[in-house]
Formats: sequence, C-alpha cells, structure tokens
Amino acid sequence: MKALAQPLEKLLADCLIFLLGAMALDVMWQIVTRFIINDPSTWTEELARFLLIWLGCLGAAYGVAQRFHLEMDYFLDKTSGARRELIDRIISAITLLLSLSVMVYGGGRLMWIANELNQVSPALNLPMSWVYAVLPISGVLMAYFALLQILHPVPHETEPEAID
Amino acid sequence: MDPIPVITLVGCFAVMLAIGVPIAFAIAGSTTLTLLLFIPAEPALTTIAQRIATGMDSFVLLAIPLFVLAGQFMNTPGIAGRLIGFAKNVIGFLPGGLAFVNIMASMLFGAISGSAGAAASAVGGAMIKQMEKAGYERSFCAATNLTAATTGLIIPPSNGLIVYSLAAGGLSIGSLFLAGYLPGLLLGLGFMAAAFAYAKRRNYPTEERAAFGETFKSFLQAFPSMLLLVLVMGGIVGGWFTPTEAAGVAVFYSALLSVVIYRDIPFKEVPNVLLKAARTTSMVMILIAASVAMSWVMTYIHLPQAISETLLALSDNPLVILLIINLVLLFVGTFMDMTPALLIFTPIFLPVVVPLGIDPIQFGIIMVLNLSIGLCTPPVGSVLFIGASVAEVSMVKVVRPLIPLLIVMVLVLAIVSAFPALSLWLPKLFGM
Repeated sequence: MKALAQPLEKLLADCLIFLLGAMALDVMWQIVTRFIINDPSTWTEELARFLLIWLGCLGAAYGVAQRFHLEMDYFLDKTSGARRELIDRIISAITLLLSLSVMVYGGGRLMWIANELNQVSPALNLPMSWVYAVLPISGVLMAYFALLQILHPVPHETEPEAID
Repeated sequence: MDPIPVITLVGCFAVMLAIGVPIAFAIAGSTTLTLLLFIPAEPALTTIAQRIATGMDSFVLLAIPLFVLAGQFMNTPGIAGRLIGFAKNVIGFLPGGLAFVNIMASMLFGAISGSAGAAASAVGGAMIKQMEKAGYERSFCAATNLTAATTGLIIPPSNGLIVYSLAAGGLSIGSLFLAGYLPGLLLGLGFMAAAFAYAKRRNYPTEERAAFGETFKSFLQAFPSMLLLVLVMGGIVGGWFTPTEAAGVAVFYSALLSVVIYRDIPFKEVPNVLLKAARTTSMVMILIAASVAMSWVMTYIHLPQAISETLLALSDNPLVILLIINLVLLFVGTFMDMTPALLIFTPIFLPVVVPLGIDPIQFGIIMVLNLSIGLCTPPVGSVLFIGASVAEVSMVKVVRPLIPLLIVMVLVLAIVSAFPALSLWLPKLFGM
C-alpha cells in the first residue's frame, strides 16, 4: 500500500512546493514591475490565478493521500475495530465517487468544451483547456488514493491541523 | 419553496458530516446530489466542476496562500521568543505579570502569523515552562494562551476576514482589516482584566520592572517582526498595494527576516516551509471551491430567501435577529471550524441582516469573533486542542480557567454586535 502511494505523494508534494513558490515569485514580480520598473506586467495576475487553481486541485488530491482534509471526527473517534474500518471505507468510497463524477467526468467535460470553443486566456493566450486539465488529473489521483484506502484501510490518527 | 431539494441538501450534508467525511467533500457531494434532482447528470456534473474551478479563480483569493506562507516563515521559536521578551519588559511588572506577557505575546504572534493554532503552540510552548516555574497552574497558562491566540484571527492581516469577504461576494478587505483592530484590542483588554482578577486572587507573582534601556533593547529586537504588521496594513490603507500584493510583500519580508537575517530557518528547510503552507492552502482552497458550488445551488433552490423570510417573520428588530444568528453560530462553532462555517453561513445570513441596516463589514467582524469562540470550546475546538496538548494538560482541566475567558469573549461579541461604531469607526476614519 505504502509502496503504491508514496512515489506519487512525493511527486505531488514537489509539485505543490513548485506551484506555491512560483505563485509567490509571480506576485513579487508584479510588485517589482509596478513600483520599480514602472511598467506594470500584464500577465502576472492571470498566471497567479491559474497557479492557484492548479495548487488547489492537486493539493486536494494530496490531502486525500495524506488525509489532512478538515473533517468532523467527533463521532468517528468514538468507533473502533471493524465498525471504524467500515466507516473509513464508506468515506473513501464517497471520495472515490465524487472524484470520478465531478472531477474526472465533469472536469473532463469542462476541459473538452473549452477545447471545442477554442477558449484562450486574455493575457497569456493560454488554452483554457490546459488550465482546466488539472481537474481530471487531480480527479484521477484522488480516485487512485481513495481506491487504495478502500482496499487497504489503514487506521489513521485524526490529528487536528488548525487552519485558523 | 419545494422542500425536497432542501431536505436533500441539508440532510445529505449533515449525514456525511456526522460520519466524518471531509467537510469539503460533504459540501460537494450534497451539492451535486441536489443539482441532480433538477438537471441531467452531464450538465450537472460539468456545472459543479466549473463552479469549483471558477471558485478558485480569483486574484483576491491569492492573498490567503501568501499570508499563510508568510505566517509559516514567521512561525519560529526565535520570533516567538523576541515577542515574549518584549512583552515581559512592557507589562511583566503587573500582578500576574506572566499571564499578561502570555496574552500580549499570543496576540502579537497571532496577528503576525495569522494563525491562532500557530500562536497557541509557539507562544504556549515557550511560556508554559516559565509560568510553571513561577508557580502558575498549567491549565491556567493554557487557557490564557489559547484564547489570546484567537485575537490574531481578528487583528489584521486575517485570513478569516478574507474568506468572509469572498463568501459575502467581495467586500473591501482593507475595510474589514481596519474594522478588526478595535474589537481585537477590546478582546485582549478583556482577557487581561480577567487574568488580573484571577491572578490577584491566587497571589501570583510579579516580574521585576525592567530598566528603560532594557525595555528599549527588547523593543528593537521584536521590532522587525512587528514591522510586518505595519508594512501590510500601511500598504493596503495607503493604497499602495492590493491585499494580494501586500501578502506578497509579507512573504518576501518574512522570508528575508527568518531565513537571511535571523537564520531561524536554514535555507534547506525552505521547501518544507512551502509544503506546510501548501497543505494549509489546499485545505482552505478545496473548502472555498466546494462552498462556491454550494452557495450557487442554495440560491438555485431559494434557500437563503426562505431562511431570511422565516427569520424576519420572528422579528424585524436588528438586535433580536443578530441575537438569534449569534446563538446559531455559537452552536455551529462548537463543532465546526471557522473557515467552513464562514463559507457556509455567510451567504445564508448576510442577506437577512443587510436589509435591516446592518453593515456587512460589522457583520463580518461579528461572524469571525463568534466563530473564534467555537475554536476554544469543547467538544471540538482545534485551538483548544492545540493549547491543551502544548501545555500537556487534558482539555477537561483547561475548561475551569477557560470559563471566565469565554465569558469575556461572549461579552465582547455582544458589545460588537450592539455597537456598530466599534467596527465601523476606523474604516470610516481612513475613508475606506
């Protein structure tokens, strides 16, 4: 189980580091061009938004693998043994279903429509289908991690990670 | 209004939430099922996917990952130590001095890092040993530390207020930030008053009064960290930066400070800092994306209108309505974190209060204040959990010293709800 997921998780983590780093540099570049060079960049804002969509979607897949998504585990923590395993499987099954329907199918359709209509972004002239491609990609990854968790439920401690 | 879609949306969401499905997926799942009642699978799924993508497609939203990243760079024991050293020299001489130091340092660190959880663990971890040595109880240290840490959520820069602005359909982040100062300070003063009473009764020791030179030196040491707050707010209020650009400046400044100047974070640790921030960002972003889809479906089935009509049928007195909403949110906050609660309930409650003449800026402060209380209460309070585990005491033990502090929070919430000027005076002063 670990061997099946770990290399992918590592790759995802590297992608997230790259995307966030690029985003920070991009916004800084926007500030530099506006205040120092006095020639505001036209594409930084758009690029930053696209990086954020990629970061959010790939991060969601990474969150399924690492189980760090915010959940209400009050009742879940009161169960144990076979019942706990069953509920964990149900949760993973819901994740699987959602990732296949919304992210892979819905996101795939979105990508296909953008491609059919030849939508390009105004500043970078980037095909919008490339931007939307992250939905089916993350969907496949999410589905893969969720499937692994259904096949091999591993007891996980629910250690709260505060986002506030 | 047709009850079936409402029952589907609320019922599916509640069941998934209760069994422990990640909140974002519970939101997306119930939203998808509800939409499937109305339109065929293909357009429904494409629409949800599109709402998810466009939900994240916003330049304002970028401020969140950048502030999170800046906070992650500032989240070092070194910076916490400098703030504690400064606080000690400023207010350590009062009775129960270390409790005041704890409160002031938690507030400063909370504001700088933008995270109550980070403040509770960084300041709490450092203060607990010193306070115990001086004769304070661990549970009392934890209680003062974790409640004071939440003021960082209302004193800008505040990610909670950015999330609210987004959920409210785009309010001025500069105004919201300015509106947070006075309620945040009032909260801090309230905590200090409660700690003062407690310390007097217990005869807790005072610290020696530091010489002026000493105080000034510690101020200089803490100054670069506190400058971040000035830089961000000055830039936004002065109209030089957008909030997103201010967050970019914050990232640059905090990285420079922690990595290059203080060397609290070794250079090879930087990818790890980025990854930690990316994790938090992912948790927030997927919640935002799913909530954008849900609030669209809620509007589609006229849910906010129905709730608004029901509430307004009870009373059209703004204070009564605010009281009802506050009670509902206090209950929600006991089991739900701030970010998802803001995302779910802002589109529901804001349309109720605006026609009554309540300013959306004030309402944002009310919501963030209210939901901070929930972070400190059992059974589910993420900041309470962190504060207790840092102090190595059980949550049950923290509850007793926590009660007076929670009362302070509720009082401040009542004052902020009743007096709009407390939130609106500063934004007006700066013409925002």
